[in-house]
Amino acid sequence: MHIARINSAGKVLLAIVLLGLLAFALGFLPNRWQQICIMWAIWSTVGMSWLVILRVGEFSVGQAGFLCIGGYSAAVLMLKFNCPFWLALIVSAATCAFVALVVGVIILRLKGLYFLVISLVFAEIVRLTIAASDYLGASEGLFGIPIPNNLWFIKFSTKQGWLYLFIFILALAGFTFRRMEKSRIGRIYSYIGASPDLAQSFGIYYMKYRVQAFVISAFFTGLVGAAMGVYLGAVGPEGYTFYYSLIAQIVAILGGVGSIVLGPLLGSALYTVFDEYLVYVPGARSLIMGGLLLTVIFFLPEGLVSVRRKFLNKFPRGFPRKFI
Amino acid sequence: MFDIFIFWITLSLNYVLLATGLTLTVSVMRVVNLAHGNFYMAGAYAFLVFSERAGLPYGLALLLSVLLVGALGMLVEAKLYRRLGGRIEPSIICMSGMLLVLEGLAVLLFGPDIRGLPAMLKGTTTIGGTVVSMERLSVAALALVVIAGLFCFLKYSRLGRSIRATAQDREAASLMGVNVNLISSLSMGIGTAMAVIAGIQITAVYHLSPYVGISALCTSILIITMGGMGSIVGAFIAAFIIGLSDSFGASFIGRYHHLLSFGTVMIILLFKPTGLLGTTVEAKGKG
Repeated sequence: MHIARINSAGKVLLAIVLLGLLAFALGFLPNRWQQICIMWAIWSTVGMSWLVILRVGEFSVGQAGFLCIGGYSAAVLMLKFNCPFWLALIVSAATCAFVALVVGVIILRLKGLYFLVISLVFAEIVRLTIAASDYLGASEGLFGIPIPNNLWFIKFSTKQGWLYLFIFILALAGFTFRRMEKSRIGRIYSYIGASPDLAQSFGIYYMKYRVQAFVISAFFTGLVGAAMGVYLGAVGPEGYTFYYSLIAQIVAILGGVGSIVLGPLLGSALYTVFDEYLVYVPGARSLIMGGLLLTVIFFLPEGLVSVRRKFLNKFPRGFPRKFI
Repeated sequence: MFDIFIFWITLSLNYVLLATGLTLTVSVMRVVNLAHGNFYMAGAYAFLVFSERAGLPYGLALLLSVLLVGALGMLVEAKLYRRLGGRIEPSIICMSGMLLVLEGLAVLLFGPDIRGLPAMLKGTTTIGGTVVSMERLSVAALALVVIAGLFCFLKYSRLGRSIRATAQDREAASLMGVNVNLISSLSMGIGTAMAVIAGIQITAVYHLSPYVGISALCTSILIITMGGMGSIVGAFIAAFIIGLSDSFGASFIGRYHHLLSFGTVMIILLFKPTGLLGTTVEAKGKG
């Protein structure tokens, strides 16, 4: 094949063009499927960010906290300071990264069960503080966030425009995480995840990388949280409960935690389709998601990404595998 | 003032029940049971079915729901959790799955509405010139009896000693002839049963909905983190501190009282990451 022989920059360019065309085509789906695609992009990004923390060996159940901070800072900037949308987006993500830096230096001193517990507590602190603050709209939240101005052909008054934005954020996060995983940083993360003490004995100052992973994860979660807040037009403390933190972990685990990009993409596709069709039956969503989680953890521990390999292993060795 | 004091004692005693249940499972199973709060919720619904739909007397309904949900907890431990081999990540995911399944079932079966639970005793009495509702007194008395019973069981009975031994060192206990699998199931069952009793009592004072599980989970996690994971006496002390912020704090500070309890826990963790009376559960859990 010719494609295999072009150089790596060419491959990246080709991938960008193909993905861009695919994303452009997604904009012409029916409205409901555009909605599903938007949620798919949102939860994939959140799932990937969650996996970054898992790479350094910590199991976070506090992603809702960063979604909340991101959404609220974008809402405050746009409503109270008349800040333009793009600036608000970047400032919100930076705010999240800063909060993660300050909090991370303290809470990443804890490991294992204690980190898990304290990340949950962190998300709840954020939510309850916001729910108690009158400036931030107390338990009602902030609503009436203005629709951003058009950007060239992208109109934010339609779902299409938002779809392009979220796909762009997803692509940005995906490329960043993929590059990270393939580089020296990714290998350092996996050493730390395997054994912090061993990593330290190799001269890796693991605290630095743990905080780094936490900050990067918070940056992308905050970015997508800010965009999501403006997309929905309202933010409220009731939205950012523990369930949001669970979704981050659901999409990553359904897809498979071994692959930082493909896993969350697959898991999130499964999650959002179920979510969209089950939202009218109260309770069915939790039941099915819980059932899926249990099924995956017992029968498919490596997630959906391992389905192809398991399927291939059923064929004899000489079977031409590249056609499947 | 005396009224709030009674409320503090009542609430804290039930928090002790809730948190002791969780700390028992944490110390034996070495993983935080994220579904703990939802077992609490499930127990309250089971009680609702037994007492209102089936019309059983209070004590019988309480006993039946405790046995039913306790057995469910044991089943989850024996059939699901044990197969994961004690690794932290899969166990946590399994427990999150159970959390969602229980919540979904409750919404499907009973609907998302808020309900009230019947109280054990009705009417009021006067203590030292202040009117106190019998409901709260009976709730406190029941909690006290159960806590004392659990404490004696763990301290003096043979089975209780086996549970403590397994919590200290699983391998050594198994070498001494303790059936650690049975002990794991048993401690999960007892932990769940504690949650159910607390659930029936606390939701009778507040309200019951399928979503109360998460806040119960947060409360009990705060308590066991503050007291030290695996320490029952620590959980006892911490429950009274958290109860202080939820009763006196809620009356005098108002909406920010959650921040008070969270802040206290954060500060304690900063200076003593294992909690007030904690041992290092985490060092063994991570392997």
